[in-house]
Amino acid sequence: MLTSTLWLVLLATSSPAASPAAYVEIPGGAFRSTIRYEGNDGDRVVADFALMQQAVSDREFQAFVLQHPQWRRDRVPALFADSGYLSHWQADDAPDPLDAERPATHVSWFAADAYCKAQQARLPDWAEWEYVAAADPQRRDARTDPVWRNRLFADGTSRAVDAAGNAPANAYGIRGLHGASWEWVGDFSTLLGDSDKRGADDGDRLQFCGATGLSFNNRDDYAVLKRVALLSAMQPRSTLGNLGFRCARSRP
Amino acid sequence: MSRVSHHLLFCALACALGIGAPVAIATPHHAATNDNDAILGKPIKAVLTAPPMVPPPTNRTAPAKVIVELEVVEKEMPISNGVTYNFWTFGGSVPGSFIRVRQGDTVEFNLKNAHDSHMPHNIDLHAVTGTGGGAEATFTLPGHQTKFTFKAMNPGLYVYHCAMPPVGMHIANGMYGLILVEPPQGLPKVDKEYYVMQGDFYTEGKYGEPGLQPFSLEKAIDEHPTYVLFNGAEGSLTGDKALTAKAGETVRLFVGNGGPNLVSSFHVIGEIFDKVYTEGGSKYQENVQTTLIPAGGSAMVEFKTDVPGNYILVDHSIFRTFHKGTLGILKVTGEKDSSIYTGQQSSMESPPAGKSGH
Repeated sequence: MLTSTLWLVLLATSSPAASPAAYVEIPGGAFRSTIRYEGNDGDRVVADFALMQQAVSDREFQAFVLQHPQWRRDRVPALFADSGYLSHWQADDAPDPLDAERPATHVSWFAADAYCKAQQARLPDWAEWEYVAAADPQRRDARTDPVWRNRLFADGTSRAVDAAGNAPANAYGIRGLHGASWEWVGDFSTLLGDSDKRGADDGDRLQFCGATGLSFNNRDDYAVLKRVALLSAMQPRSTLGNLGFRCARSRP
Repeated sequence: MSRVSHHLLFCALACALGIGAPVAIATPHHAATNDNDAILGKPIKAVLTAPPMVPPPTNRTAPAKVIVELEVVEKEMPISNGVTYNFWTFGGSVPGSFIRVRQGDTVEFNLKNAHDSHMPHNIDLHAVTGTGGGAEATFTLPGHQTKFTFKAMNPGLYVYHCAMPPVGMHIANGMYGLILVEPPQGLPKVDKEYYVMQGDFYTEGKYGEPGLQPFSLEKAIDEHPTYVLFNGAEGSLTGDKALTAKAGETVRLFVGNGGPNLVSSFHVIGEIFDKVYTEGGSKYQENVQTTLIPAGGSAMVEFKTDVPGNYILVDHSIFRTFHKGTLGILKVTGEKDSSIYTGQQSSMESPPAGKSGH
């Protein structure tokens, strides 16, 4: 309660952001998610939306912090960001200039959400993120290709398929979804399972992920399972050195 | 009421509530002989060792509070000659650090996940009585640490492993190790103790294909390992890393099997195990040639090294040994004893088959 009240105060004091980032129109469609929400193991429908072509960079995030100084690391309330928030920056309002084009990391969900709202945007939902991330450079859904799937194991490390700056865009024209950094999604907290994840108390249905009605349609898709494991470990104020974000916009 | 009866009343009440006798009343004798009483003395920091070494016996006659500090480290290490692998480790080694406590100890477990890890990790210790073996309690993000406390209720040699999804992958990448809970009297004294743990590994490239080899999910699901290894690397127990003993010494091997898939037919060529504490428990079998160690299980094997030689540790599911790497050596030095073993006594051509006498 306290959290949401404070949040509204912060939101009210924020002003529209400056630099327009490149968004790519994503045509919606029916999609079989690797994860399964309770009672729904059929296709999910993703509506048309737009997604940032690449993850928000440190330089872009700096512009936001300069306009919204309540999100500086020396001013952000502890409710909204843990002690790791922007800890890789060389100053409270400045990243290392040499690395400023790299995806912004050490950003909490609250901060990422505020950034996107300041862009008149929002964080993508998990389903939207997964829908676009299913693509490789040639195919919109490359998930049945075991070679592609295996390459995704390195997500979140410097060996990830999109970690190199010159990695090609995927079939939608989106870059870096499988990069050295993981990415926040707006509804990450619905991915929460129990923290053991083996669902000892509820048998097969929960064999792969926790007790909040989430299971897996595709047990071979370990790469996505790793991502869900990571996101479900997070609190909205948590930050990580390999967790960044990008924004999305619904079609008006 | 007299002062004496006040004390008696208090004592009776404390006993009824199951509270340890207050310090003012407890005698040292009483406290030292009851394992269920309050923990004695200052907390002890557990000595952790990388394989093949084992921490020294606890040498305690009473339970204690023991603090374990273990860090998860993801790192590239050799898996074979010219081949590397991105291992995920407990304490920087595969298998992870050996932990040694005593039955009745209260263990405060601190799990740290290194800042440069890319995944959250946790730990399920089979020595723990309680939900998930501690996995729930140790859900640890990169750059974070968690803590939980358990009582080591049952003596034995137990596997621990990471239980984060995808569980199989965390284990396949090396996230397992052993924790020994000594019985109250300790284990029988031996001259040498070693830590050996088998694991199966799945790489995209074939056996011996050089360079950094990524994990292969297909092979892991099919249970077709590229490597089957002792202590996480081919050659980890050979050459100048061979285990050593002198003839006449007694040796105890703490043998674990991290899996994730294969069970092990553990055997030492040229030795007979005098004792095998089957499945790492309290009962032993005697005079055993090969002992079966399940994935996620263990055994303690003991034997006396009577005569010198190179004794070869193998998985007697034998193609693994010579084609996938499950090979270690125990080098025993000392005086030969031809009353036990002569070595080759002669070699000659055998006479040609005789002509039929008829």
